[in-house]
Amino acid sequence: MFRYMLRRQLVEDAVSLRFSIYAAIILSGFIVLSLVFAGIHQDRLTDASRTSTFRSSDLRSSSSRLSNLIGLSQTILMEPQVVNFIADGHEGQMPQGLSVGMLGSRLAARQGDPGEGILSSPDLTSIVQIIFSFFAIVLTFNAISFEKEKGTLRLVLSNSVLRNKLLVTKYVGGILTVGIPFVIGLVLSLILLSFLGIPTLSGSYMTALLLFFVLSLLYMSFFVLLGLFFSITAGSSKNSLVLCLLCWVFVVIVLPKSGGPLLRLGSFSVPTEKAVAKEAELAGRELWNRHRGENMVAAGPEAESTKLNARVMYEASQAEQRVFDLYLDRKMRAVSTIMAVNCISPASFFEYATSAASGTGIDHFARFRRQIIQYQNELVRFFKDQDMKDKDSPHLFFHPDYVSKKPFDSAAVPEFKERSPGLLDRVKDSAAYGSGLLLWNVIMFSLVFIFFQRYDVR
Amino acid sequence: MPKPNALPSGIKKLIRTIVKREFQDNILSFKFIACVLVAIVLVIISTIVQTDDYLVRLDDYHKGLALAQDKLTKVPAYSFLRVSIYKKPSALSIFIPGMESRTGSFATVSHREIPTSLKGGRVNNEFAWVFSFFDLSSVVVGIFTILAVLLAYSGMSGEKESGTLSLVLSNAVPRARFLIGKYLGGLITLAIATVLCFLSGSIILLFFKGLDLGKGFFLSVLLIFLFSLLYLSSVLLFGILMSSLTKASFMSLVVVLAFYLVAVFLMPLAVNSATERSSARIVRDAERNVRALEEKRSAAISKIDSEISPRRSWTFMKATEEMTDALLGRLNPPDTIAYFASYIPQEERLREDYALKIYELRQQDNGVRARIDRVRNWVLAISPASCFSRAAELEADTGRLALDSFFSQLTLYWHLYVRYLDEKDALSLKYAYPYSRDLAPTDKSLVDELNRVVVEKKGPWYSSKAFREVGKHNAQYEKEIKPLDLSDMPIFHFQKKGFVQRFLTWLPCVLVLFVDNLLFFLLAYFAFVRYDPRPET
Repeated sequence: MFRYMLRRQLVEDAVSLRFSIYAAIILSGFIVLSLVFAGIHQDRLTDASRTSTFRSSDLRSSSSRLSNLIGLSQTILMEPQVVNFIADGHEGQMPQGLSVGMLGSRLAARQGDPGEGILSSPDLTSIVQIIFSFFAIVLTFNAISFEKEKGTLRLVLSNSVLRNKLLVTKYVGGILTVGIPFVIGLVLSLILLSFLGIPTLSGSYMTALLLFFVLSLLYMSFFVLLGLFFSITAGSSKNSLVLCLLCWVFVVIVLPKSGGPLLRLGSFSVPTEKAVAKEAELAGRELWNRHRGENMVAAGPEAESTKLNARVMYEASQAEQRVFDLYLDRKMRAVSTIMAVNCISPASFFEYATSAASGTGIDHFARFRRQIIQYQNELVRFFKDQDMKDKDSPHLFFHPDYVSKKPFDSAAVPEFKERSPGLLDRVKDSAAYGSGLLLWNVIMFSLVFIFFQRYDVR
Repeated sequence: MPKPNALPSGIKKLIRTIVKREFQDNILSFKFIACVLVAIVLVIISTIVQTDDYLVRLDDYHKGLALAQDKLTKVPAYSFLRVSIYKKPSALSIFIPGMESRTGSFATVSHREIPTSLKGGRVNNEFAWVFSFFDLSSVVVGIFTILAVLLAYSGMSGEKESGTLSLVLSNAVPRARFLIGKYLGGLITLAIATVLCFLSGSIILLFFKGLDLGKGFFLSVLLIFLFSLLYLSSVLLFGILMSSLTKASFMSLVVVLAFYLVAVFLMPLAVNSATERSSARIVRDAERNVRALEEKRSAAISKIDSEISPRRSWTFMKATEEMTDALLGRLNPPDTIAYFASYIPQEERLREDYALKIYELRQQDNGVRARIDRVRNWVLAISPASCFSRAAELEADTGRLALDSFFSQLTLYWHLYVRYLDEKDALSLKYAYPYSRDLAPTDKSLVDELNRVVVEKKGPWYSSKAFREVGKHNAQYEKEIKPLDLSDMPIFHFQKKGFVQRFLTWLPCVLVLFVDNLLFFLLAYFAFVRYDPRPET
């Protein structure tokens, strides 16, 4: 009986006008998205390769003296990933890399900012977030009320079909109807991407895709349930439609933007770039001031005062770096906190879950930054090793006048290679948001269930 | 026999009745109340947030202005002269923020650079771009489009389903009149909804103290209101068209909702991300070319430096910013002065020339970008929603065009400013050296002593006793430096766009909306004339 009802539901949906219209929109959406993404990805790759060429040429031109390494600052961008196709996590709107020196790092200038600060970054997540939720609602807003208005609901229920069985049929049928174009579109876009020369068949990509698939189903299921809920509670199909659409606008469009203004609150605010630079400079100067009155530089390189000078110089640069780090931490924490506030909406839950599953977004930047710090340590180790080989060097780190001035092999300098997160990490990260989504589903489902049990079918 | 055109008065009355009935039906309906309530709540929230933001920006502007004024009274030499120009935030950015809160707040003019972007600004957190917020126009587009869709989708087919359509038409009501009646009833409903929304936004503004909205604010708001009405009317007509094309109201609903999804969300998303990518690439290439030009400039500068090469006593002074700092002190050896007297004019002239070259280069790329923008706007013109948003942004003058006109005026000002520097002979030794050349005998001996230390290279010069002594004397002399008299310097006045200029910018958008309306109306008319009013059995 269940299978029969499900089949009826599916056939009814599949031949309906709404299904064909939305399937057309969905498929064209997937195609346009794939084309746009292929272009964006190509641009990001070009950027990354260009900066790495700059890096190696900078290294080569400073290889005449080891001491040149101290002042050298390299721009390293986050590696463009194919998983950004699944979820970009707003990487187009964030700083894209760091300027890294041996003594510290700063945020790199944005690449190719058209001056408006915002590069919208379309991805599969935004397609699912907008189109599929809408489709789910259009499909289910009258699922129950229409049957009632037609009178078939009474007929079915009088046929000794259990209420919850009917409900589950409607629910599963709705998910399947939304899910089938989703799967087709997904496969289509993967084929299109591979035609455009973007490899999509790697293991990490496939796991991200799998996680994304599960999360999308959860997300769509929420909207199917929402449609069913209003279809039961709103009285008539017309009212149910109004409520569904308004709810959709709230959940998908308004609420995910609700956290933004909170950034202006005192506890999240940060000083301007200029003020931060000034504060850093003050921190450095304070360290120098502590040693005021001491003779910092004597004639000989081995003199105690020269050692002191080198040490204070190093400590001052570290103090400056600490100020920058403090504010960068604070900025990122503010954004993460506000993202948590946005999570009142399932749409945000979904967005953050997919970006965690793909390892993109602000977490990507945080991971990148941790790896950059490790890389700095490698760089310092390399520098010290090279310096120790030079017998003439006074080894006063990191005073440019009192370290080795011999040439070094620029090819031997360690290179930065970004590591993507392990599978387990990604599953764990996305599970946290995913469980939020699941909770929404459970709440919605129990509401639908309870209200349907009490539903007057006449 | 009455003439075919002249309707009996009873029918005229009937049309009024249709409008009235339609209007009453709408205004008491659940959809109207729900949509209007939601829209009002959103408008109130967005107005509060955006007004707060505007007030902070305005405060920054006034503070910045005072700071810039203050700085100008303390300029010791022309090398320290930087004219900070603050862009006044527009009050209309409360309703239509456009790009205002995203771009910076000021630009710095010097003869070395013609600014093409704003610095500073409210957003200090580089990650904050992740969040966006809604404004009045997005509420109109997001919520009231739904209302218009809901009002229209069952216009004809709904009446048919309930059987009233054949009843009305059999009452000798011409179809055209019935259509107009339906349309006007819906339009009045939408107008009331929009008025309530705009009013609640405007009332919120009254609660903010110290809010100077300026002349023409409410005229612009009124115009934006009319634009939104024009836009909503096109959606309404599209809904009526679909409703007279389909047999069942449910079918027209599905089509109109698909239209909403595509026109409001998907098309702008796709078109914007496609064009942003190409303009981002242009910016990137432009910056690379600018960098190449800057490298050429520094090569030319070092060439000047090597060509002059007099014997300089203070060899440690490179041609950097700190050089001018050092020159501010009175105690400089004559040959150093001579060197800078010939070096500064050449370098600064060169920088001025390159400022113009870099600007022209950027202007070229800006032209390409403007072309891309134009193409984007025409493609987006297919969607009435984008047309409306653009028209509203152009009337509010908070978008890219406003920024462009600011910078073109700034460029004119730059030319005035450079001419002023020329008249004052500012790019000579005066650029960095505010003294006559005579030194007192004690000063002379100090300078000679320091010269000796530097030339003989007895250890680092900066730890020598003579250097400290010179430093002390210079500190004393610095107090005597009189600030430059800059009272006759040209002042930048930003000329805001007048009504006529704004009118010309938004006219195409409004015309497109108008054509949309006309087209949908005619199509709806033809479709309805051929419509079968009998309900299916």
